[in-house]
Formats: sequence, structure tokens, C-alpha cells
Amino acid sequence: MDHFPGNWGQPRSRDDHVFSSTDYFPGHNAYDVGSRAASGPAQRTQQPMVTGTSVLGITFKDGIMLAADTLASYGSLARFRDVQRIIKVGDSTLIGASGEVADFQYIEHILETLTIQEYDHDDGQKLSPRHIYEYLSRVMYGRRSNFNPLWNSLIVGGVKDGDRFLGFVDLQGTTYQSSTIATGYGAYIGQPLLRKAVEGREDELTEEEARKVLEDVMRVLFYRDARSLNKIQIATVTAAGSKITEPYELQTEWAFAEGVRGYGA
Amino acid sequence: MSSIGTGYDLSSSTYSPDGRIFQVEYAFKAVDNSGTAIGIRARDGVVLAVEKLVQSKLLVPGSNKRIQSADSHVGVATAGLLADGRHLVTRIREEAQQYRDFYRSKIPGKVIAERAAGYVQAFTLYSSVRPFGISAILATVDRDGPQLYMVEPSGVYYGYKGTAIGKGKQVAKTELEKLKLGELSCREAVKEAARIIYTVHDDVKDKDFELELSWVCEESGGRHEFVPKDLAAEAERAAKASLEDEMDED
Amino acid sequence: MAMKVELPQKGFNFENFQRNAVLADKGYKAPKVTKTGTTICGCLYKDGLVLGADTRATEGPIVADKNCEKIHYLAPNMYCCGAGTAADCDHTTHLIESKLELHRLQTGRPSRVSTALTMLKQMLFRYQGQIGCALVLGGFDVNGPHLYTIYPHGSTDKLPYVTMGSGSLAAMAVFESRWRKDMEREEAAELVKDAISAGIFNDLGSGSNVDVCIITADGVDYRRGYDKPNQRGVKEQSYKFAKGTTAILTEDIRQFVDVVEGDAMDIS
Repeated sequence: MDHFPGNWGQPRSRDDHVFSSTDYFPGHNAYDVGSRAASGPAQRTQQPMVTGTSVLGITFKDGIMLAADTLASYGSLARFRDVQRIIKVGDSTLIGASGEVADFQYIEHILETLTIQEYDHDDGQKLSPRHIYEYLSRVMYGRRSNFNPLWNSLIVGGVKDGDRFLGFVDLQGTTYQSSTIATGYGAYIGQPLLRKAVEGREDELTEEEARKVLEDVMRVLFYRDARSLNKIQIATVTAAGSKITEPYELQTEWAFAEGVRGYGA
Repeated sequence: MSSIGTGYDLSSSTYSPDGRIFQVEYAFKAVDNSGTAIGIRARDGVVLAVEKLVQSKLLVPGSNKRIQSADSHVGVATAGLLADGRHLVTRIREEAQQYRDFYRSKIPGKVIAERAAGYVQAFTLYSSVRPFGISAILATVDRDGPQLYMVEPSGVYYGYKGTAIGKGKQVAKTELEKLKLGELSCREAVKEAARIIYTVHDDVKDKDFELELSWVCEESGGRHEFVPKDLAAEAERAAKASLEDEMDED
Repeated sequence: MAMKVELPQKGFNFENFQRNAVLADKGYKAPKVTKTGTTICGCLYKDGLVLGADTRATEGPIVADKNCEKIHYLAPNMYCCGAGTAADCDHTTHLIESKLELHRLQTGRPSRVSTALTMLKQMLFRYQGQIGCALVLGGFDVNGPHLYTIYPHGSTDKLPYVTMGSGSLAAMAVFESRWRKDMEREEAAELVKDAISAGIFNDLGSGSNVDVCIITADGVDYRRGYDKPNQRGVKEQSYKFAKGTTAILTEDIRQFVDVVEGDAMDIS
């Protein structure tokens, strides 16, 4: 008879989502031994299956604005065309994700756990955008260090006590902050345009101008990223709170095609 | 019907000849000595109220709260040994989190009450641990609507429309029975809860107390939170006023 | 006595393929090719077209040439921007330049852009992509202005605006954002300048200055150094050492030659 209440079964391990015993002793599970014995060392670094493409983020006069399309691709198939890739965390933070959708859904879950824990603490403290950013970068780097990454590139944006925050974390644990951030193809196609439009003018850009900049860049991405969609969402955070628009379609210009005939002589 | 259980009351694993476990019964006494806590299930939510007795003027107001949140939609008010109450709430939080991890969904009231009660009951089986010295009132809102449960030190639990624990529970239960619980709105229930707490408070035996009021309802968006300050203040004022009316009546 | 004429073999010659594969297995990898890393672009406007290019040539992570010329002359009415392997671009464009001149002499007419296009693409296809030329070909001939891209494997596109090179995504972003049909000359030149600048500042393989070339019916306006957004700062002081900074410890003068006064040498 076990007298110690601590051994009467805990409902869960605190670090279940960060690591488990098999991380340190691969091949020591019942199902690992036997059929897998000869297949070489344990491998977990994955390849993403259902993915989201670029996410953009900029700072403007009153806060932060994020943009992303609503497509989740299955390789070259446009599989899910109404996916929300930007989420709210608390009242003051937004997170946009590109990469594996399943991993993002898991990140959503662990952030909810974090939010609930802070709420239950009931000490008048609220998670700020920077807190969430630091937490996510720890999780992402920790997973990478155990060869079990969450295959995402994330943009964290928010406003707390008048301070604007915009940061980037990815599957390797790389982090940086900037007044313009873009993931995926957005980094090559979008960033030049975002920098030209925003750099130096972060405190003058109005909400209307910021929205226009993001829409223009999302349009160019739709032209040139073969895994994108022209149905987008724009999300804004200001001191007043956060909101994410309903998905809407971007207008595109195809008239130039009338002049294209053949490819040579 | 209290009797001395000499010889049969030293451990939880000893039955008395008439089939009682005295340690568990003594645990109930710890609950009955503490400040009153009540729960009211209204038609659009659940209200919890606690008469938090203040032992010393040196205590910071609002500290040592007896109502706590587990997850976002579960409220727990305890009467009895405060430390035991905190331990149980920690376990309730873990259970609620585990349910979320497994089912990606909020734990229903029925399930969390069951798990809390099961945990409390485990401590009545062995002589190496002592039973919980608390009764806990659980308030939740889930897909089946608002629910109220109460867990006793024995591990027994029932669902209630209204319940009270602690030293003023008899008076409180009498008052609760007078209410039309099925028709009350949450805002009305808050006022009634404040009034009842003020009614049961014994000015002679106990000096100061703080009134803790919390709810889970439509107005709070299904989240367990302390009642907004303006509504709580209004309820307290009304409660104090109705007490004076009663005194004038005498 | 009749000479035996050896006709060239039909089709592609893959003689060395197996040998190269065996060598690679043994660890003798094929020599690495040095690339330019580049932003080049071109766009049509009302009166003709504008070509643009950056001026950085790289060898891996090193900048080999801070101000090279990537817009190559092909004909009086035709220029070609080159990205990819620098040597391949230079030599290929020179070769087709020569072929075009011979062709002009034979036909007695100004060259057509499609002629250069066909010569280039047929050669590049023959070499199956081994010649690393990614070209933006632009010119104004009897049928008007024409703008083409040519890829190393020999495919071509005929479009109103094109970009190539490692900075092509940055430049194309600018084009997709602002190009419209029938722009004015100044607007088109500014657009090309901004597109190349996007490459210069956002792509590590591109840098230094913007070269621009405007081609119309009236001729070519080749603007080397159209924009120079990366000039080095002016030094604040003169850092020359003053005479006498290095102390002379000893002096030793030796006469190796006898200096004789006399008449100048007779070189008749």
C-alpha cells in the first residue's frame, strides 16, 4: 500500500509538451524496441504537411498591424481556404503563423494554458506581448534543441502601456524585432516594399495608410507566391484593444496579359 | 448527534462499532468553525459569496481570498482550513488542465466535481494522511448551463440549486429556501447572496469580515470572475440597508 | 586523294557523363562556378524600354568588383543585362554581338531583337544549362520595342516587365506594385531605379550603384551610374604622414654611375 499521496497519480506532467523521457532515451518505449531496432538512430526532425505561407507585420502610429491570407496548402493543393492564421492572445497581443498548421494549433493550445494559469493566479498581472514572445522563443528553441521542432515562423505583435512590440520567432529559435517583419516568401518579396513604406515613418503612419501598405504587399504576394491566396485577414492592436477582420478578397489586375503573345519570335 | 469516539477516533482507517469514521466527522467540525460560504445557482449563472472573517487589522484588505478560479470557467469557494482549500484548488486546476489537454475542451461541471470529490475521498482511506478539513463549493457554466456542486470532507458530493457551509450555514440555508432560485437572475442573486452573508454574520462573536462575491454567468462571458466593483458595492450597500431595516423592525 | 570528311555526331554528346559521375564518387567534384549575385530588370514604357542593373560582382561572400558593368552592348539598338556566372554572361553576349554584326553586314538591315533572342536561346539550350546565363534582353527594332528574359536552360519569356538575379524578387515586388502601361520616360526610369535599389538594399548579392539604359526609336541613352546611393563617406581629415615622421638614422650614398657632362646620344 502506497502511503504517499504524491504517488496516487498525478493528472499530468507539467512539461509534457516540452519533453518526455523518450527524448533522452530514444528507443526505450515498448513500441520503439523490436520492429524499429535496426532502423538506425531515433529521428524526429520532420517535414511540414499542411502549411500556411507568408505573414506580414508592421508598426504604425497607434499600434501594430498584421496580415495573412486564409490558405492552408497541402503541398501544391490549396486544401483549406478559410483558415485563420492570426490569433488573439489576451487583449493586447496578436500572433500570426506560417508553416505547419498542426504545430500552430498546438502553440495555440499551450498559449491558452499559459493564459489560464495567469488568470487563475488572480494577482492583477496580465501577460504582455513581450512576455508571450519570450515564452514562445524559449519553447521554440527548446524544441529545436531536442530535434523536435514546431515547424513554424511566428510574428508576435502587441501594445502594452502605450509601447508597441513586434517580434519574430521561428522553428530554429531565431528571434528578432523590427518595425517591419515578414515570414516565408514575404521576406523576399514583401520586406523590400514594407521597409520602403514604413522605415522612418513608424510614428506618422496612420491606420488607413498601414492597411493600404499591407493590402498592396499581400496583392504582390498573391501575384508572385504560387502557394498564396487573395483572401486575406488584417489584424490590428492598439491601446484600445485588438481586432481581426473577417476574411475578404483582394482585387487583382490582369489587364497586362492582353499584351502578352508568345514567348519568342 | 455528536458522541465521543474514544478509542475509535485516532485514525481514518478505524471504524467505530456503529460504523462511523470519527476522523472524517471531526474534519466536518473544522468546516463548521469557519466563516460562512454560500452558492446560488441562478437561471443565467452561479454566484458564490464568502464571509471572510478578518482576524487582525494588520491584514491587507483583499488578501487571503477564499474564492479561487480554476481554468477560466470554474469557481471554488471553501470553508474550513484555508491551506487545505488551496491544495484542493491546485489539484482541481491540474485536473481541469489535463481534461483540456486530452479533449481540447473545457471540463464540464459534473466531471470536475466528480474528480475533486474522488481526490478528497482518497484522503479518508489511510491512517498516514488526514482528511481534508474543508467543504468546497464549485460553480461552473458549461454546455449544460450553470451548475453548482458541493464537496464534503468525506468525499461525498451533490449538485445543488443553493447551498451553504460554515458556521452560519443553518441560517443561510433557511434564507436560501425562501428564494425562488429557478427564476432569479445573476444580478439579483448577487444582491441576495450579499444580504444573506450579512444576515448570518454574528457581530458579537466575530468582529470584522470582508465580503467576497464572485460569479460565472452570461454577463461575465462564461468566465469565473469577482463581481464587478460597482455591482458588488451596490449589493453590499443594499445588504447593510436591509439589515438596518430588520433591526428597526425589532 | 579524297579527304575523309568527319560529319559531326547527331544529337547531344554525353561522352563525359559517366566519367564525371565516377570522378564525383571518388571525391573529385566538378569545379565550383563563381556567380555574380545580381539584380537586373527591364520594363516597357510609352516610347520604348528601360533596362536596369546593379553593379556588384561577388565571389561567394566577397565583393570582387564594386562597380562592374552588367548591361552589355549587343547592337546599336539592343542591350542585354546579364545575371548568373559573370564569365558566361560576358562571353556569351560578346559572341552574339559579333554574330549580330556579321548578320547585319550580310542582311544590310538593323538587327531585330528576336534574332538575338533566337541565337542566344539556341546556344544556351545546346549547352543544357551548363552555361550559367540569365539574361534580360531589350531593344528597339523595326517592329517596335521588345523585352525578353532568357533562362540558362534556354527558355524565354516575352513580357512588359521582367527581373532576374538573386535580387529579382525584391525588384519584381516593386514592379508588381507600380508598373502600368504607357508610362512616361522619367516615371519608367524612376521605377527601374527603385526596383534595382530594392535589390541593392534587401539582397546581399546585389549592391553599389544603379546602371540604367533607355532604348527608344531615336537611339540609346546609356546611363552608367544613374544612381549612386552607396558612396563612401568623405574622410574628415588628411591622414597623410608629415615629412619627417620616419626618423632617418643613417644615410649611405654610393655612386654606381659616373655622371659625365656631354652631348646627347647620337641615334641617327
